[in-house]
Amino acid sequence: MSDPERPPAPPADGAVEPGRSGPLIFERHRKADGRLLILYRAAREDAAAER
Amino acid sequence: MGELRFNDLRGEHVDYAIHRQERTFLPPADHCPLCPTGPGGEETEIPFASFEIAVFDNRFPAFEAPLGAAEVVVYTDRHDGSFATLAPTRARELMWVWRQRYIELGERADIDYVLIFENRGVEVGVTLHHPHGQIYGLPFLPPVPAAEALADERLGGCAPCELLRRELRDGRRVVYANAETVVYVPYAARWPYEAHAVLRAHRASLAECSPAELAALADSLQALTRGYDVLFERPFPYVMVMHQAPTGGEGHGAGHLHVEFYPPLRTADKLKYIAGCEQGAGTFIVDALPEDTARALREAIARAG
Repeated sequence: MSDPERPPAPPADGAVEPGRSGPLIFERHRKADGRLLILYRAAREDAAAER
Repeated sequence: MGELRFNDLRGEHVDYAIHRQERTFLPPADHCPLCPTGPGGEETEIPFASFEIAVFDNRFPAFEAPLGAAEVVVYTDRHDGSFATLAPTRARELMWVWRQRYIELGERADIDYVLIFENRGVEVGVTLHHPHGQIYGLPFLPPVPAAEALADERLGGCAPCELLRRELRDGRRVVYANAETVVYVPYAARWPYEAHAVLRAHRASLAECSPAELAALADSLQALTRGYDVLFERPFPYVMVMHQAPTGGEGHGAGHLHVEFYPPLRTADKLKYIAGCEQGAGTFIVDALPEDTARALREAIARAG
């Protein structure tokens, strides 16, 4: 490991951080116990129709 | 918090995560922690009424910050099915999820290797049937990618590139191919139906792949897993592992993206065990030739369509 003294920065408590990965939009949530939860969904508006 | 020890005799790390002894074990479908949370129902790991793909920190992590990570990737909010039965669109989207997690976890200073994998079937220790995989962020370079780096040295270049050239020249063990990827049973497979899905172009990781390559990889993985299920006309257990470049430390950035499948079945109802010679000598004894299992698998993939 390169630097164990530098842990990752979690998102701020209660914040929902949006992001993008290719055709996906994602949102980061913080669960009640502090664990990270990321929800991904297709960016296309017709995504639901395609499924 | 677990404890990481180094086994000096083997030259490898062993992770003690004793809290995992208490993890959820094969709950009934109506208590699945990976399903969405129904109205008025008990809150699951995903407190939303529906979702497409979800990733969350494992409640029973084998690794966790500041020395690694353990995440669960839920492929769909539908409890039944498998990676093979996902809509092709969803399988392609999953490649982008894996890519995003590889990049983000790989940027962490405490993670040297991002291991994306799926265990399917009780035969390989699955404790939840809902379609899902896992990601470990390991705070060291584990033995398997270290051995692949040695293979690069032994073969005088990228080993997966050279092995792919050999498989394409021979052709007998290729079970599926598309424009960007090739799937084959390796010449010296350790499991009867082991298969590797390999990018034709040299790509160290998902991060280097084009959208077309990610789509082709999803197509190959689904073709293979559908073929597996047709092979013995039963859900086919496997361990699926994505091999990519280490993200830190020794060997950082060097590798060739490929996905290896280690299925434990040798017939429809018989398992291959890791027994004396495999554990004691590190030498696998296999009951079937790769050329024969590749032929059967190729036909099964064709039948699966």
